[in-house]
Amino acid sequence: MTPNEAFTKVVAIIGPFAKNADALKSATRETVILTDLGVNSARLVDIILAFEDEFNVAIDDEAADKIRTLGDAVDQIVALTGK
Amino acid sequence: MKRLSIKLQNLIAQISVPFTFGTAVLLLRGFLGYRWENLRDFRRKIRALLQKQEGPVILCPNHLTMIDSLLLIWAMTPAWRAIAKPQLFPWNTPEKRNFAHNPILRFFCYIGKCLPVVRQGPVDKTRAFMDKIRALLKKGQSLMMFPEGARSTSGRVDTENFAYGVGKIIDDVRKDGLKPKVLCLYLRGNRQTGKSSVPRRRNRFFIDAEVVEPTTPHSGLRAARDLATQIIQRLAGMEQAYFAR
Repeated sequence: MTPNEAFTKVVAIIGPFAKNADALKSATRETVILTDLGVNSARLVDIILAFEDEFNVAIDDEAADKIRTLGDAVDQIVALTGK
Repeated sequence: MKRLSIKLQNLIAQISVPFTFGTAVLLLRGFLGYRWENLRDFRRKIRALLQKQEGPVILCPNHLTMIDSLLLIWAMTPAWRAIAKPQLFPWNTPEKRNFAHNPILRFFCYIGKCLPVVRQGPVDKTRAFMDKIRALLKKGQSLMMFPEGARSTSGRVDTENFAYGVGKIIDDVRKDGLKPKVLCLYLRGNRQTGKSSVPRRRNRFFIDAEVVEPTTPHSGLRAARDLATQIIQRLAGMEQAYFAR
């Protein structure tokens, strides 16, 4: 999976959890999931589990703790899917 | 060092029980005029539920007001029993920003067995906090943690936007070989319609407790979500029973 493909899917997964729709439309790799997109911190777990289901990967607690931005999520997913 | 500081806090808190409980009851009963609908029955139930429990206990109440912990500690036990059985005086995990600015509140939180948490704080601080909690539970102490993560904005148990922290703690301590007893507590004043800072004066409170034994085939985050969901569903069931009376 390419980083661009992963980015598109990541944004689509986060969409329902993001309170700031405008920030989501103009999201970049540097967009911070919690503060910029207005995602509730408790929902970050749901998002990570949705990544696992969508990309068929297992993200351990330590890796999950490091996901702050969309770029962090994309990098983790690309690394775990092997490309 | 951290464990020593927790031991010291525990010792001071236990010594201060008569003062802490006395002040709480004076404030809640004397000044605010709160009363209980079923205190004796509730205390009898709690004693029966905890009598044979040697391991840790996790208390999971619903959350509507800023002083729920205080009310629950008052409800759980009279002061003398809390001195004899520290499990009846649980540790709490209040949000640091809610009290750290005020030295009087800080003092009462310290002797009230509070471990401050910073929600959405740095990962290393959150991890250190979780390590403290695990250490406490390993020592057989009890912990009160609001599974909703925040006061419910709807006035009812929030079955949609709740946190999974309590599930993570249960999953973690089970990995340590512990079998914590999970007690769901449902608390509601008769004049409580929704979320508030302090319940209105002369509220008459109802309280109930039920044991829940959450299970999950998963591990990690998925386990945390599973376990927390079962606790929230039990609380929602207790709320339904309250309104159906």
